[in-house]
Parts: sequence; C-alpha cells; structure tokens
Amino acid sequence: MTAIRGFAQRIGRRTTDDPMSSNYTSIIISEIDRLDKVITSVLDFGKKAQLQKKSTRIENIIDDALLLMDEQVQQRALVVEKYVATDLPDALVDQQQIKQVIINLLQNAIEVTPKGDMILINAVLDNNDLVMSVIDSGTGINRDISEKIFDPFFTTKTHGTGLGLAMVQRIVEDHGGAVDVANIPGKGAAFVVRLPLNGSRAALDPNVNAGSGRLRGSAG
Amino acid sequence: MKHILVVDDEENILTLFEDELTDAGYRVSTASTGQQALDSIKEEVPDLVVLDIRMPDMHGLEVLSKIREDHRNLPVIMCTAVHGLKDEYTVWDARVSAYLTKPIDLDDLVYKVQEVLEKNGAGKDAAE
Repeated sequence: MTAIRGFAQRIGRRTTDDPMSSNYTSIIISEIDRLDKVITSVLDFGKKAQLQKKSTRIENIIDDALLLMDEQVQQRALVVEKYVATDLPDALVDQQQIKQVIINLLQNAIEVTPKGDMILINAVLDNNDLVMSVIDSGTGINRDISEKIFDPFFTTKTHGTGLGLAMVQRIVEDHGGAVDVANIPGKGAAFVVRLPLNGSRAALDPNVNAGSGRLRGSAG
Repeated sequence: MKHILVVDDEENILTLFEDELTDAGYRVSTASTGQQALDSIKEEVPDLVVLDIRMPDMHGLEVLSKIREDHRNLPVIMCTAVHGLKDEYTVWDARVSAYLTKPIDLDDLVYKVQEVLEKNGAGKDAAE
C-alpha cells in the first residue's frame, strides 16, 4: 500500500497543471487510506487480544474516549452529557480495550445523531456490575436488523466495515460481560454494556430486557 | 550531500523511497535484506538508515541490534505497521530515532529524515 500510495503521490505532484489528473490521484490516495482503515479493522478484529486487567477508574476511561472523539463531536455541534455515579467503585478491566468499546459506541452515536442534538453516556453500579450506556438521538434500530447488528461484517453504512459493534461485543464478553441494544422512545438507540466490577462473570439475566431494565438504573 | 540507506525487502518501496529522497537532495543507497544492510554499513556508514521492521532474512529489530554493536548513535528510522508500534516494539523507543507508520506518506518520510538529521547535527555517529 505504501508503494501504491507513494507513487500516486509522486504522479499527483507532477500533474498540478492538469486538474483532472491531480484530482484522480487525490482520489486514489484517499481510497488507499480508506482501504488501509478497513484492513486495519479486520486485522484488529482477527487478533485475539491478551487482556491486561487493572483496577481502573471508569470515569477516566470515559474521559479519554471523549477527548479522542471531541473533534467529531465539535464538527457536528453535538452535546455530550456524561453521568458517572458517585458510588461507582474502580473496575478490574483492560483500559485500552474498554476505551475501544466506548470509542466504537460513541462513533456510532455521533454518526446517527442529528447535528446539534444530544448524546448521553452513563456509568452506574447495578448488582455489583458496572453498567455503561451510550444513548444517541438517532432514529433507533429497526427491529428487523437488531438481531444482526453485532454480527461481524454486518453494516448499514456505506463506508462501514461492520466490525465496530462486533468488536464491542467480543471485548465485553472477554471481560465476562454482555452488551445489548434497545430503542428509547423519544430518544434514539441505547447501547448498554454490563461488566463485572471484579473481573469475573457478570450476574446476567438473559431474560431481562437489557435496554429498559438497565437504563432505569442509569438515569439517576 | 547526506547519505541515506533504505532497507526494505519490497523492490517497489526501495524504488519509491530512493526516488523521493534523491529528489529531496539526498544520496541514497538501498538494501533488500538485513544482511545486505549490515554489509553496506560495514563498507560505508550512512548518515541515516530507514529500516523496515519485517524482512524475510532478519527482523528489523535484529538488524537494529547488530547496527548498534558498532554504531551506537547512528540515526535509524523504523518503518512499521500500526499494530507493531502499539505492542512489542514500543520498548525499543529509546533506541530508535523515529517511526514511520505504513502506509507511509512521502511528505512524512522526507520530514522525518530532515528532522532526525537536524537533531543529530551532522548525522554521523559521534562515537566513530
């Protein structure tokens, strides 16, 4: 890819007096960069990460993720509201991996939330589990695709890889947790991540509706 | 004229970097294996080495270790994939002048080469 990109770059420099050729080489370069992102995502997804769990203040991870996404948030003039419960103890998690979870969820939320609208991110304690939710102001998830959205390579985006949510699910499950999605009437979609605080299996009840049940706890 | 040694097993990359760095005013020599790079350095010590991490005969870090046996301060820029940079190679930071992440942008290449050479004064190994 370096060779294709580099030679295109060199051709582009020699065609500055020919706007069409110059434009074409710019397109080649940006498409290579897009392809590189796709390949990087596939490689990251294919790589089984060794978890390096440490006792961590979740609010710090959320703040790190928000900082990384700040430019996109500003570009779309979005308002991000964060609520972290004051009684939330430190959690035994892999910081980088959980940051990736939050980034992927925020990325989706940013893309579906209309300009100037709001995204909520909450972290609360529930039955000795950490429950984090990212709620967007989009149109929600269609029922007919809600079963598939965590499947690898499933995407509704033109340029998506379909790996963002699959990666979220895998990281969360590697931590002994679970992730689910629910539509919030009058808001958008709520992605809810439940993680055991002590690093062992979360007390999950698969029969409980992940969205509404858990979000009640996070609203305070 | 500063002398840059580019080490990469991909012929196309060697051609690309050689053309780009020559246009930027450097004298460039190339090596397509780790061993060739070490032989070339034995013959003539360059001012800077642009070294790929992944090569069939020798890992880039092995080449770097062997370079360091005789040339402690020779500036070396490592070319790596993002994954490598994130993980095991980070520990080598102190011994590497700079990293370039693939796919490498040519403007970045020239900028890093200039920057490292400037930082290293004449760019020659002070211990020599």
